[in-house]
Amino acid sequence: MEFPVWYVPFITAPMLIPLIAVPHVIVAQFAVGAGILLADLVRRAHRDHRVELLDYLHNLTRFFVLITVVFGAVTGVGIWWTIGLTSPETTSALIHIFLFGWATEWVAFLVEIVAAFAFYYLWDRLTPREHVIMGWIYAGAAWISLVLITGITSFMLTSGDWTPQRNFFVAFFNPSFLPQTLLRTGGSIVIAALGIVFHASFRSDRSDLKNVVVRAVSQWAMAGMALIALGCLWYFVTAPDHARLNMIRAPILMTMTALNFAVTLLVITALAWGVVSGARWITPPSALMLVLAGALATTTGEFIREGARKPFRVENYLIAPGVLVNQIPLIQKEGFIEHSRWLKFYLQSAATATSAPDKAARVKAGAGIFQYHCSSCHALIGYNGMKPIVYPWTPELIRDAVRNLHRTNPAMPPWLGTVAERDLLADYLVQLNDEAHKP
Amino acid sequence: MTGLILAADPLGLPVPVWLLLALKVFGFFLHLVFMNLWLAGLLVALFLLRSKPAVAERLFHALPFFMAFGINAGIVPLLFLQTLYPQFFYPATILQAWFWLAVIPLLLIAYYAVYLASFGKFRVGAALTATFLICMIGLMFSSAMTLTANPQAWPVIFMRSNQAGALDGVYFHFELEVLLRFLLVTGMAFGTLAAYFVIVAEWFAKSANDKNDLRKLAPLYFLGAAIYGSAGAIYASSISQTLSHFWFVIAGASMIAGVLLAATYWKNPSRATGIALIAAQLAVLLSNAIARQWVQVSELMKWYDPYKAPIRGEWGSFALFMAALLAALIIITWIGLTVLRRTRNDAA
Repeated sequence: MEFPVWYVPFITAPMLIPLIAVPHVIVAQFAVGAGILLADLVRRAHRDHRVELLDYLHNLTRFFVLITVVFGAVTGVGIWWTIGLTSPETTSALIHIFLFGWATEWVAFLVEIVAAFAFYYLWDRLTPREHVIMGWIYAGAAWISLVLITGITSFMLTSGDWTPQRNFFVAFFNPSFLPQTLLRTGGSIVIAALGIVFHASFRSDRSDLKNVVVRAVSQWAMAGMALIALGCLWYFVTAPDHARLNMIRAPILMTMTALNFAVTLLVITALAWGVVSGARWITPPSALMLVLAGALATTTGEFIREGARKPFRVENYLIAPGVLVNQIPLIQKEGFIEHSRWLKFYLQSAATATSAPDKAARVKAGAGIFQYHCSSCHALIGYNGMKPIVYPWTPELIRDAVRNLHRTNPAMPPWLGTVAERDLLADYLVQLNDEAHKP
Repeated sequence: MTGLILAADPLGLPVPVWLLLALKVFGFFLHLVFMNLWLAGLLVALFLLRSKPAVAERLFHALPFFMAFGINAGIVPLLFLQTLYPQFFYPATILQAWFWLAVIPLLLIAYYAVYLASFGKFRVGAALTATFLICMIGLMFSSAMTLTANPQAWPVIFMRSNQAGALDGVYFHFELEVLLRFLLVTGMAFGTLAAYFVIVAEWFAKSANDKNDLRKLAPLYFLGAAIYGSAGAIYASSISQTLSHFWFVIAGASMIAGVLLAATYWKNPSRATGIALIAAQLAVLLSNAIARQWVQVSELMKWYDPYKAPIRGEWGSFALFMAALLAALIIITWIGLTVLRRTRNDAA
């Protein structure tokens, strides 16, 4: 624990990440998929000289640019902001391993922006060939962005053969990189198809334009679904044992998995129906339902990916609450406080003697240890609330649970301190329990 | 105090320090160009709305592009800052976490407000909102960078704003240096906008009147120089020990040259003077980007020497980045030429 901890009541600091990351992932996947679908639809419109379809796509592209270039870009930066504030050790590690992967992603993003602006703002001025090329440049750059980011996020779950002595490429081409790339590519196409179907649902039924759009994107979406199915199976096979155990064992992850399957099935059925029957069934409410189902599938998918990784932040390298795996024996020997600069400074400055018999001082030290050891996953009240968890426990059970932290739940890290420090934390939790039971 | 600062990331640096610094300066320079244009551009577009509506309109249309490229380029210096100095940057931002996090929603609102103004919807209100938010964001950045280079201030802030050793993140670091750094950028911003008007006037004017209107905006440079000079005169005393005289001279001389060229261009506009003015402004931005880096390295050297960090030698991924950058430049050049060809054809 080399950095200070940010205390965020009720939800914990790391839970700020999904607040920004989930909308970003949905929009970013929409950006990637819509790039592909728009390039293809514009190609078809130019090929068949369909002016009304081009007009419609122009309108759609304006919506697309406003969503992706603004919201997608800012929330993408926002994720980086939030992980730096809430998990600085992890962010620093990832930046030091993947620096030029991130820099390359910046280059891809730059091309995306330039191509997206040219594609939209020169809609009527480019030749059909230039217009379609512009669309495919955007789609290609956006997909490369997706691939680069997937290499980094998949590494956190499956670090594979990487060790600190090995290079970027070993980390990047980790065991779950390809399955996640398939999964995200498929997901992007499906999300984009659902977004476009929603947009098209506001068109009147008089022309066959809606029919053409829905059929075309539904066909793409079926291909996306195939990629999702393949990616999912492969992903589950490559997932490490601890991740599979988490997925089976944690009720929340089981629920998320079931939800994910259910909404995916709903979406696949609807899109298959779209391929067969065109746009007859499409109305704004039904299309909105499908968009929400797609968003739910993405949200649950991200939640499963993040949840399954616990207690690792980077498999076999960094463990919650931000400790290097190879440092665990040393920290257990020398003490958690000794290896937590800011906590140590706080306790020294607050003149809190950790070995003092004074109960108030012990509880204060325990509270500090709780903040640095536990608060990245546990609020006091709220997300994984510690007070409700320990409420029915006896003091003996509390001490036993702290002693056997990683045995109580495979998603928990082992105790990362000395026996004396463990007792300080237990004293604090017992105190919490006493307070909760007071009338 | 030194106990609060981590030595270096255990993974070491991917490539040598000089290369990381060069890339950081390159990114910051790019970011400065576009960020300058949106910062001064919003204010000037609002100001010109009645007196020169055509120029204001053109500026409002360009602002979303400036925002997009400015935000994109802003990623680069932050990426390399986090590689070189994570042990300074993370604590400094966590100490004022809520304010630092607030940059994201504020930027999102400002960005959409700029689009609203660009589309001509609620133009004045949207532009005023965006200007206010962008100034707030500018101050937050200035604050974060100032605190990053001042670790001696951390212990007091930490002990004042924690709960059981965990930071509550509601502290906002404000001192004279924060304001001065922000004003220096604001001063440069008006200069950059004046240089932008020269480009538009000399190469992209739609008519003789348009050209004339744009050429008359050169005095914006004087406003920028006045702000830059006033803030710089005070700020210079605080960094005189850390910044080499060479960069002092370059940063000051390029601004003085810019003022003289702006005056010449205003009285007797020509492409040659315009090009010289643009070059002078680019020199102002580049010398400032380098000088700021110089000061940051010197100030942090008291606590940590990055040159002593082990080098991993990530040359393979660096080659990937350079190849991608080269490919991107080729593609962007093709897009740029296509855009020019089609917009020129259209104008003709």
